[in-house]
Amino acid sequence: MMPQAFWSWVAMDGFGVYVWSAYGFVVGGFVGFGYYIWRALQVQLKSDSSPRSPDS
Amino acid sequence: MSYPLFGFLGFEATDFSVTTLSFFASTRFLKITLLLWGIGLILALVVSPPDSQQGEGMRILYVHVPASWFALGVLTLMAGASALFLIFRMPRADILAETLAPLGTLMTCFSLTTGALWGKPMWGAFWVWDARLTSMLILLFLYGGILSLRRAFSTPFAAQQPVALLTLVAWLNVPLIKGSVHWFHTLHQPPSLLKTVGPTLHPQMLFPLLVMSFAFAASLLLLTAWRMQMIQARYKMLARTQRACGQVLWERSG
Repeated sequence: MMPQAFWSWVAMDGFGVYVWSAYGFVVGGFVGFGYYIWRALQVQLKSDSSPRSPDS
Repeated sequence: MSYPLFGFLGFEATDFSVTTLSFFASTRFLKITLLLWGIGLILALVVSPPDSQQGEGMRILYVHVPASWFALGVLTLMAGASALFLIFRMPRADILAETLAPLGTLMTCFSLTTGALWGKPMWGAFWVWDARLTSMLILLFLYGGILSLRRAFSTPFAAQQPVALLTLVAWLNVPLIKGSVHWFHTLHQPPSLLKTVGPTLHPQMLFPLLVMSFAFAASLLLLTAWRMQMIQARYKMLARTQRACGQVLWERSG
């Protein structure tokens, strides 16, 4: 894709700011929330498998 | 005769249900999800033609419509799980409803935000108080209420029944949202796909929308499996702590 054609595609006839904002929010939201859940799962599994003293 | 789904939602998980949950939480399924997103984004942003009236701005449809579908679909699943919990006292049905609540909230946030970003270039305003938009905003508040009520109790098991009841009441908003574009004069357009005469969307736009919907569904399955595993592990830890303390700290209402 030529640079001019690329920037024309990015601009999307002036709608680019709305289209890229919408896609950025959705993809970013999935990635961010997914990472948050994955981290929570790892922390939970780690605390679940950590050795416990006989008194606990 | 065994009922895998019934066992999955009840106390005893069958081999089938455990394997299914492990598959959706696996790295292999994560790769399938990422592949679907890759194909879906190329189809939506590059391959799909612009609309004759809305131009390139129509591409927001490919994220707005699946988000709206799943915002309603997730609450419907939660209501079904809550009904199963209230009738049959299946603990995993309540865990499923607890798992899905933040995901439904996320979908509603996506729907409202992408809708606002689509509305500004098409209607000239990010927001209008029409029946469809207002009922979707109420849906977000209902999801917020369900999430807050779950945390409002001192013990996790005490929250199960009130949350299940609130979820069933909240679901009454779903038919209102679906019917809002038919019953009221709204700026929001009526449905183009879920119609008795069939979809009115051109196949060149319908196919990217279906692929993006599959990408949304796969992402939700993945996040549901991760979160469900996390919640199950947390409940097991609570039960172990209770046994170690030798006294009843939490009581299961089921």
